[in-house]
Amino acid sequence: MRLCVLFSGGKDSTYAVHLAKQAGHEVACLLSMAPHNKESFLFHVPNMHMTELQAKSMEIPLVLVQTSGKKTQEYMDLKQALQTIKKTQRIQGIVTGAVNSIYQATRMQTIAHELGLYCFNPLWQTKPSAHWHELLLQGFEIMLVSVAAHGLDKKWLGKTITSENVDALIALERSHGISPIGEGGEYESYVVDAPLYWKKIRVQQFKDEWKGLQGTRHIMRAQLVAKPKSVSTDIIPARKRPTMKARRKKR
Amino acid sequence: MTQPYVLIVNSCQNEDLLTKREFVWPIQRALHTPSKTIHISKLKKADVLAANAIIFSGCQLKDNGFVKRVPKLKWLKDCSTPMLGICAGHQLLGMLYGGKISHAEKPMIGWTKLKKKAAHPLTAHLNKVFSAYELHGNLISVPKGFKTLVSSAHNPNEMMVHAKKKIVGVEFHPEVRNERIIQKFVE
Repeated sequence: MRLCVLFSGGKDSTYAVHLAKQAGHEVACLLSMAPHNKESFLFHVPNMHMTELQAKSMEIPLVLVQTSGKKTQEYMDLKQALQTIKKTQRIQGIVTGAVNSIYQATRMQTIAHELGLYCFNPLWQTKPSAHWHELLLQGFEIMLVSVAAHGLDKKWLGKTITSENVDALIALERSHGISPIGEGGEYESYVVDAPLYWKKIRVQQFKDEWKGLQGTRHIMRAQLVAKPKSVSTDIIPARKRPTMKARRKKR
Repeated sequence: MTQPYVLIVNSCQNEDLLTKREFVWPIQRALHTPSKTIHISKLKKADVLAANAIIFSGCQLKDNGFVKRVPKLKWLKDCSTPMLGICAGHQLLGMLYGGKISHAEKPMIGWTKLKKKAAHPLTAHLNKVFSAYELHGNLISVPKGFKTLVSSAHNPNEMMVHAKKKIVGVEFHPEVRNERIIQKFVE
């Protein structure tokens, strides 16, 4: 099936792309919604401009749409964007990275229904610990690019998550009541490497900004760098990568 | 001797990793007992008889593929294995026993208030009015031999139970924040 993945550049939507490809679907494009409002209910906020680099590394076309980020308008903007994509890309369904948020799932399911599209939520109801360990086991390299909760202090901003950090996030759920997957906006992530990436993202310049409990790492400059040869994906083995000519022909 | 297990039947049209993760795995995670999964297209009488209980999963809102499978699954009525149907599974069990399927005026998506109509051990832990996650565009009438346990403003048959057999159908998704219903069913 030809699908569009709602893509924020964070761990959940990047994993959704991975799973859609693994299931044998054709990911026609990624859709990133960039909200002007920092309090957006539906969309990931920081570093949306950096989704372009991720899409480039995965060699999947990206549609980047600006939205006000206001509660009702952002819904309409998403619907409008998907309507256009349905027409131009001939997609049959959308894929989201929704895990536990009924708010998010309800809106995505409703939009998909209104547009006559299938809606896939492959991470739905995944347990936080299992979800994190699955990501790390698959080789995802995930950086926290914003934090906004008690317990997530300066040492967490910009941190690349490891198994030990996952245990600490789970412990923070018990002590501070935060969602270990950050679905309540406690933190937001940026995937710098994933099995689907042909090249890894190296952050070259960034600026940290703090407002009370809320810290944001603004990525100012980043580039794609070659991955070590030993790294291979379980989806498309590195050596079987099609030539540029073949890839263009396929498109 | 084989360990007892619950068989979860994937009711989605296609055997696809994405839908399996969305509709089957959450049920599996809700269970505290061993389970196996099978796609509905592969389900055989021997599978049903070998399991301790069967749970039919839900499927995508746009997916009505299960409807055309019903005539080929009539043999399920001859099996005494306890059965729980969730969403599409609820509609499938309802159709097997003569219930009529229809399109809802408006699909039900999201967190919804439901009301208990009759007392039953499976819902004993819930308040008279409780909330549940819904994702369905069809409705199923209550077949002969079943009684309604739960209803909502838009659907008179949110949960039904067979009067004699251990067969239960739920239109909402208990695997989302109402897991206790699934756990009680297999206990």
